[in-house]
Amino acid sequence: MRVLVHVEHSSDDELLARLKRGDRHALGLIYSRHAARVFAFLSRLSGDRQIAEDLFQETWLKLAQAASELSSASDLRAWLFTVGRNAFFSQARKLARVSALDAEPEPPALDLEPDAALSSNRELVRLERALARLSVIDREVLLLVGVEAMSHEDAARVLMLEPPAFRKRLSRARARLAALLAEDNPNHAAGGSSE
Amino acid sequence: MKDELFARLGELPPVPLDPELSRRVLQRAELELTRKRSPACGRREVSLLATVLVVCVVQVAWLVSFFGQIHR
Repeated sequence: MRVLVHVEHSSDDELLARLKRGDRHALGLIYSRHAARVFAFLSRLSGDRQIAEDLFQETWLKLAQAASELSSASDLRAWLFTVGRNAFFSQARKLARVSALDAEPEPPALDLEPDAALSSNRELVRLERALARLSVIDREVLLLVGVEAMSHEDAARVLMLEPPAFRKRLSRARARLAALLAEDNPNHAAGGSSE
Repeated sequence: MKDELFARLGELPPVPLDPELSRRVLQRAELELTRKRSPACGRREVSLLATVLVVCVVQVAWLVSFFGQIHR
């Protein structure tokens, strides 16, 4: 219980400083703070639960391995997302799952456990489906900015893009998602408003 | 429309994280954190010490040889 109280008060910077000294409790606190979001990102990015679990494990192992060398100025959250994303692309290349990323392949369907709130909300189900149909390149930028509410600067850093290229990619991905949603909207053809 | 789209993206629920997976991952990461530290710290020092020792041995050998020649 004492650990939970500590989560509220320690900043990521403080936890990072402790982690650099090999503090296992700090690792636990960082984990409890970021694990769920990192896993959600990797699940939606890969579209495959098993792959997401492997990437998730790899991400946290890399944090433990790199802990002593991390810069104090590192943004821990952005660092974790960057490592997870890089692991995904590395694994995708290895497994040859990504057949020409620029050609925007049909991503695999999400294998997510249906949540009660999700299944009751058709709008969110449609959104999740449309997101899964986007190319990986479009999906990752929307996941970072839209789902994870990351700042444009941090998201650009995770994607290793210059600000103008990032803005362009974000705008294009947003337009594509809107188009997919419009296609998928049963009321769209009739011109009616949704629900 | 665009802002609304982003607001809706933000409403997507978290993906459930299996507690067993979570426990396993954290345990491995903790092990890695402790395993990495002890040898990694010592290795650099051992390497430095070895370099210093080699330099000392070379110096002593040179001095012995030098004074040996003078003595002769």
